[in-house]
Amino acid sequence: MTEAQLTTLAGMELLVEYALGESSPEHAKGIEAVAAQSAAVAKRIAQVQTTLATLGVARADAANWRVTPEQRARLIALAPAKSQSWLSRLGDKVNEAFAALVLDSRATGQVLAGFRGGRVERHLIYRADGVEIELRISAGEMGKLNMIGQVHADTPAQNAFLAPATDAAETVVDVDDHGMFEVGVAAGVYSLVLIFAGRQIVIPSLEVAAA
Amino acid sequence: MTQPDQQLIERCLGGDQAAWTALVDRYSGLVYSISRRMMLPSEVCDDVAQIVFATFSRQLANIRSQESLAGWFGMVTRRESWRAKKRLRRTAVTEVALAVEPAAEAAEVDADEQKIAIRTAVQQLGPPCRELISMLFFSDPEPRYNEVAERLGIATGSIGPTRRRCLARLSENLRHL
Repeated sequence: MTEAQLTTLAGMELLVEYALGESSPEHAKGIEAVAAQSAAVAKRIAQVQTTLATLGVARADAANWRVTPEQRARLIALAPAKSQSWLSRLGDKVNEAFAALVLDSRATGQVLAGFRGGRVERHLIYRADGVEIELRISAGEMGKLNMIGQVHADTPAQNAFLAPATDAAETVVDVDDHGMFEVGVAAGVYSLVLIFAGRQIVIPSLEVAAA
Repeated sequence: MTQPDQQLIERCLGGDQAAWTALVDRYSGLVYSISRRMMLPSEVCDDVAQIVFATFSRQLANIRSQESLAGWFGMVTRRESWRAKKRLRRTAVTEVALAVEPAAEAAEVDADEQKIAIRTAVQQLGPPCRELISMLFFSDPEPRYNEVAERLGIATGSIGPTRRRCLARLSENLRHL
């Protein structure tokens, strides 16, 4: 056996046989002798062993990698498309509830003054499906408004999106483990979508405006 | 022929649905495997997968410059899975243990990249090697040799030599990556 033989594709088959422990004793001895003298052959043996090890890990994990046609279809439906909102991409299999407005400080005249360093805040409360969403909107920086939210629910929200009524891009809003979020946003009308496990709560036509 | 991630992303940004489907097929298994290994319930794994791919969909333009898409998917999936696990509070693992150390995270990213690299390399093999390797290593449950032989239309006795030939080809392809 020679280095030239073992560094061809046919030679690679001999190395695979060796790495699998399926070589005859003579072949194994021959390969080991060449590998001891040839860094190229030693490297190829290492490559084969790494390939087999990775395949072994893949085989052990095969059940975890399985994706059903239904799961696949749901992910395919999330393809980026200019005309589609994130809401329609989720599809109609998600349990969705629309939140109703319970309190708007602007309507009641109970504007919160002197809060947060003297800024005036507008206070809104929405409720749906056992979830209460509290929003405080005040003047922010660079001409934007600052919206602080607090989600009160048995299970925390995983994520949130602020989708403008125009074709402008949606804003991802990070909700922390305590259900709080904060976002700077231009005045306008939005849908606020809160994502929970297996369901979502939507505040449609949220008018983001100061007090 | 499988396309590199960056090319698929560019096609996605141009509205190519087939490119998006190819990326889902390439990375959905990885996403599900991570959340399932964390023993999350099936419906929570579905939620994690949807959040990860929805995030990917929205941030495509930013992600296209990422060096490793496997690394990105692994990192985001682990983050969302940890958040889901903490919410469920079904394990006795402490808050300290829930935090992933940077060295461990780096090792997991390397492992994710290897898994994606090998599956991509297998997809680049021609038939019957692609089918044979997929059946022997990526199928659950693992099929018996006679089932493999029947599916591929070859004699059971020739699976061994065919397997060696295909593994050699796969190793050679990976060597050139």
